[in-house]
Amino acid sequence: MKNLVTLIDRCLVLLLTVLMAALVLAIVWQVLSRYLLHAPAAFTEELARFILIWVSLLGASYAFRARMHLGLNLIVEKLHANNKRRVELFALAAVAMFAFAVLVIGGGRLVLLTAQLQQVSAVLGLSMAWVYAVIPLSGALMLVYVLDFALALLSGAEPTPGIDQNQNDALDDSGASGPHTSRE
Amino acid sequence: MKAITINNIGRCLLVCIVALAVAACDKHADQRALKLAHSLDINHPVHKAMAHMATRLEQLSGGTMRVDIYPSGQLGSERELIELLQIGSLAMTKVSASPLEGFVPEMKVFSIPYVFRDQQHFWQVLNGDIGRQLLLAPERVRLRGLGYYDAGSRSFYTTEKPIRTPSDLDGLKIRVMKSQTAVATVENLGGAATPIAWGELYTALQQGVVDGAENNPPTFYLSKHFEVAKFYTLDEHTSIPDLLLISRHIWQSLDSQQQQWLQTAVDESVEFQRALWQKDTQKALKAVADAGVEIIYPDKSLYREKVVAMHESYQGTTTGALLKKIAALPSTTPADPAPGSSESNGAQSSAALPESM
Repeated sequence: MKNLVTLIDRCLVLLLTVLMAALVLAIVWQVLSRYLLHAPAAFTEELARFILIWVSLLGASYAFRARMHLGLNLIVEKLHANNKRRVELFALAAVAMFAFAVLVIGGGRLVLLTAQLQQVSAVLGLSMAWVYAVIPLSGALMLVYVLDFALALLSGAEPTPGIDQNQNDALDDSGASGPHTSRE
Repeated sequence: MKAITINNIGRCLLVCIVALAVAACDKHADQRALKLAHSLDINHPVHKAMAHMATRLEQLSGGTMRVDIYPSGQLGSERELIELLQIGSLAMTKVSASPLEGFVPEMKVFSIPYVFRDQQHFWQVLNGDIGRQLLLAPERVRLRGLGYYDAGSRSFYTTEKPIRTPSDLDGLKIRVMKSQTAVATVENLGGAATPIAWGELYTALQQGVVDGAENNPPTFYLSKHFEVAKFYTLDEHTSIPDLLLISRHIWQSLDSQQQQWLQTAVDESVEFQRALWQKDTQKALKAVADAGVEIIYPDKSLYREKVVAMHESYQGTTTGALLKKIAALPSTTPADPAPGSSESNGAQSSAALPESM
């Protein structure tokens, strides 16, 4: 499990890095072609929009993994260790429900329907099913991470060392990595 | 004892409330409500036509059917509304044929420049077999067309350099809709196509991000773009109609009597809208001229020549076959004598068109 989670972490970070780079390149090319070459590229706007959708949804999974989502821990902090664990498990269950029902099932149905009805994008002619595919993907990633966090909570062990500890030391200030930061 | 009485009164009240609520529901239950959403302003002639359709439907059905209209894009953009229709969450919408291209490739034919010889030819195609076929083409993607609304013809407007001949377009950055065909149209005419979101266009024109854009007269007027674009060249390169769509799922859930009422109401609103659109176009042209916009009436045949190659590039595709069928339709029906101006227009263009096929 730990190896699998670490592998998924690496892939996710790599994919996000590539997508962010592509996003920057697309926008730079749009500006250059419009103002310097005077032959504006038509495809960049749509490409950038689709990449942003992918970055946002994959980024949501990443942020969940790195425990960067906003949470109020005012009351949870005051609870006893046992109750705190229950609350945290409940929060994980809520995340899992949303990720499964809305993102994986709902998003998956959207992808299937769009693929079946062959909707294509206006400029690139790309199948919209590819754009929407990120929704179930993001949900599946969240489910894997929920499982990892829950197993760690139940066994009392530390969860798989997170992305924030491996790659993001610079970003890793007290708020993001504190052991009691609550999720969602 | 006392407690029981209060309890009884409470129960009576509760029963009354529930009964009232059920009665209220019942009143609505025998009325079939259809939700219609679109992205236009409520002053737009197409919105007025749809409001007319809603009133007529209520009259025709004796109050058993009604249409609730959600205007101004409150339920989403055109593409999103089409998706809502596909899953049956929304009953009806009005979209331009242009965003429908992504769902039904046949709709491309409307975005191609100079497909129609004149207004008469345009309506002949839409009301004829080809138009009816195109209304039913979306059935395979869970949509059904009910009718066409006039959205006029799109023409160029520019901020600094007037377009008097096609060569004036060379190198001008023209804002286009996000569509491959729209990009190809402007590029074939000599301009540099720049897809920009509609909402950002006013500022883009003002700041010189683009040198011009293209749209029909009422939209040019209502969008206030005439405040920054002072030259309007009526070259009328594309005539992209609006389509009234219904979700196939919801259409099939209506009985044949209801379908007939709805279709009649739509057909009447189409007639109503065409007249309204003509009036609004004249009003818009007069208003922008009063605001100091120079309106240029160019020789359209010069523009037609420029897109011959573009028409040829569709040869062998379904779009190409449609283009051929449209061009083959005779220009005027003998029973319907055309006014002098459009007849000369038709004669002039029919000389240019056969070679373009």
